[in-house]
Amino acid sequence: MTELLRVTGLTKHFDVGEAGVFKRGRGVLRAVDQVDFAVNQGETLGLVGESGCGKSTVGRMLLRLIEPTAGRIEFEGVDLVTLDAKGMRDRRRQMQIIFQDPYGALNPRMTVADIIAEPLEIHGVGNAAEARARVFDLLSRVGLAPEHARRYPHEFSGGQRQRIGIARSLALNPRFIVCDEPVSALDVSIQAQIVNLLQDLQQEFGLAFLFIAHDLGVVKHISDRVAVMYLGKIVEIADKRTLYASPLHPYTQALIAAVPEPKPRAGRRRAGITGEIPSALNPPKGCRFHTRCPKVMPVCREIEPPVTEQAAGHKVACHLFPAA
Amino acid sequence: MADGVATMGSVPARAADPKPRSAAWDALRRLLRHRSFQTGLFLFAIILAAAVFAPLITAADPNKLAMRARFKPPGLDHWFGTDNFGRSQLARVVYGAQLSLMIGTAVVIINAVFGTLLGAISGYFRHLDNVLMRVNDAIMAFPAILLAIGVAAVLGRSMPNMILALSIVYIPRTARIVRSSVIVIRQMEYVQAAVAAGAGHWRILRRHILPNSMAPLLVQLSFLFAYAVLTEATLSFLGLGAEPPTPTWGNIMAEGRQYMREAPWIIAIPGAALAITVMALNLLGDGLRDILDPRLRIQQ
Repeated sequence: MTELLRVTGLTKHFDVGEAGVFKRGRGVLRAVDQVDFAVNQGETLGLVGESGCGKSTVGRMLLRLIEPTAGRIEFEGVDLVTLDAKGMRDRRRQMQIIFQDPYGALNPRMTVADIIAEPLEIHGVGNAAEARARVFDLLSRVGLAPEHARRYPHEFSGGQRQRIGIARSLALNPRFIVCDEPVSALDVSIQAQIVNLLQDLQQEFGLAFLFIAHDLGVVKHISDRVAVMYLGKIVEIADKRTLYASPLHPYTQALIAAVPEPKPRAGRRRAGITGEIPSALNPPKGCRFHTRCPKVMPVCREIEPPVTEQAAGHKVACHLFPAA
Repeated sequence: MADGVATMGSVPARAADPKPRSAAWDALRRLLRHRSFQTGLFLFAIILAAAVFAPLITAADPNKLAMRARFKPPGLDHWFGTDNFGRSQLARVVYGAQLSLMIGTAVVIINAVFGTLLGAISGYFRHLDNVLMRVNDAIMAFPAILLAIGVAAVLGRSMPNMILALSIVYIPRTARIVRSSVIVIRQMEYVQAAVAAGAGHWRILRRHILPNSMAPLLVQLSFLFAYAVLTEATLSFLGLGAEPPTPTWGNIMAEGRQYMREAPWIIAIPGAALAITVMALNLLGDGLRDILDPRLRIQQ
């Protein structure tokens, strides 16, 4: 498979603390720290982690909705970080985003037709009649009817709104879509519909997804490969089957053990993790997970574990798995 | 209004269709059912009608002296009585309404334009925010009436100068309100979606941020109209408004003040007109606030 997107050393630090005329930012929040991964054409990379681990920030940096502090984002071989406004604008036709909150993602003062047609208008694709035809086509592809085009977002349910957001993201025929928790805000029954819709569209258009979620069940269903993030770093990345069958990192193990099962077996060992995620303002020294790790060793408190490749495509950052 | 802006250059999908229920349409319907909005609208309509139809209401010239008819109390000949020069109070008060509403309207329009511009720039281009808002704060640090007196005194007595003085006083306040809602709206995901689609700053401001920031501005402008009318009357009363024969409510009251005991109607009638206008606008503002921006209700 050909590589579509390669991210190296992606980092985002936010200056926090009292900012004012006479004060400079005092703290640095390391939201994302040296993240590397790649996405192939037509595949789905799942990105999971707890709230606040930086997964949404990664997604938004890929589209430069948030400017990275450091790192390279190569899309089809071009480093997006170095592009000027015009160059970036042209690239945006290839990459889109679907948001979590179906209520906040649609401008309440625009009709559905205007919302879906806006990307076409911005890039000057087609005339008004063609844009209108395209809007109807997109509506039917996401399971909505042409008469929905002239309505306003507040007249729709959450799931329908998410479909409108998906139609908008498809308008320019992108090759890559960041799905930023697209189903987290929806009812479970609607979640399945939207996930299936995304999969159908992926097949039809050969789309690549970065699928950000905190629900491992959903990620397992949709992803080809999965990356696990903890406190701004990717701790493990592998293809889906490997990751779910034999997770290596203690954090991944704990996450997978915490997934509820339809038929709970008595006596199943639960490697639950305790405590809260530490602050990214002052991340723990050494391995960032050492404060909550059930298998913590002295070395974990001192030295940050390097990323090692344990099998083809299965990478982990943990002292339990030193470089072979 | 905001709806019209938002659909400019749109896909003509609904050209032949009946108008869908837009949020703005809904708000208007609820406004017309709102009790204090109704009352405000009714009172304001009376004042507005008096101003617009002034020549039909009275044939009298508001500046025509009639020394034999001085200090006539309100009656059948002179509905609102006459003043110390025998001028028709009815004529003076209705023409005064014209001036008050003209000044109020001008100040509101100027504020809507420049307050929105400043507030939008400040809230959207954050690197300009600090500079703009410190200047803003410096102006706002002066009590409104004091600053208005100062500016009016420097500029001299005339209608345009009065409008300018009131605009300088109130634009920073309007800009603050617009800025704060722009800051909230620019974080919304539909704005992010527009950025992701490649929209430029101008499009984002015009189509996404401004139409959704208008509710607090609309509320502010209705109160601003009341402040402008009131402040103008105050300045006129203090002798900083248009030159005396001009029948502004402030001028009429200033002259009537000397005859408060003998001819209380001279000061009472324009005073009542002013009170009704300000109350009407405040009621309208309350209604707008309740319907358009329910969160503000809790804060006040």
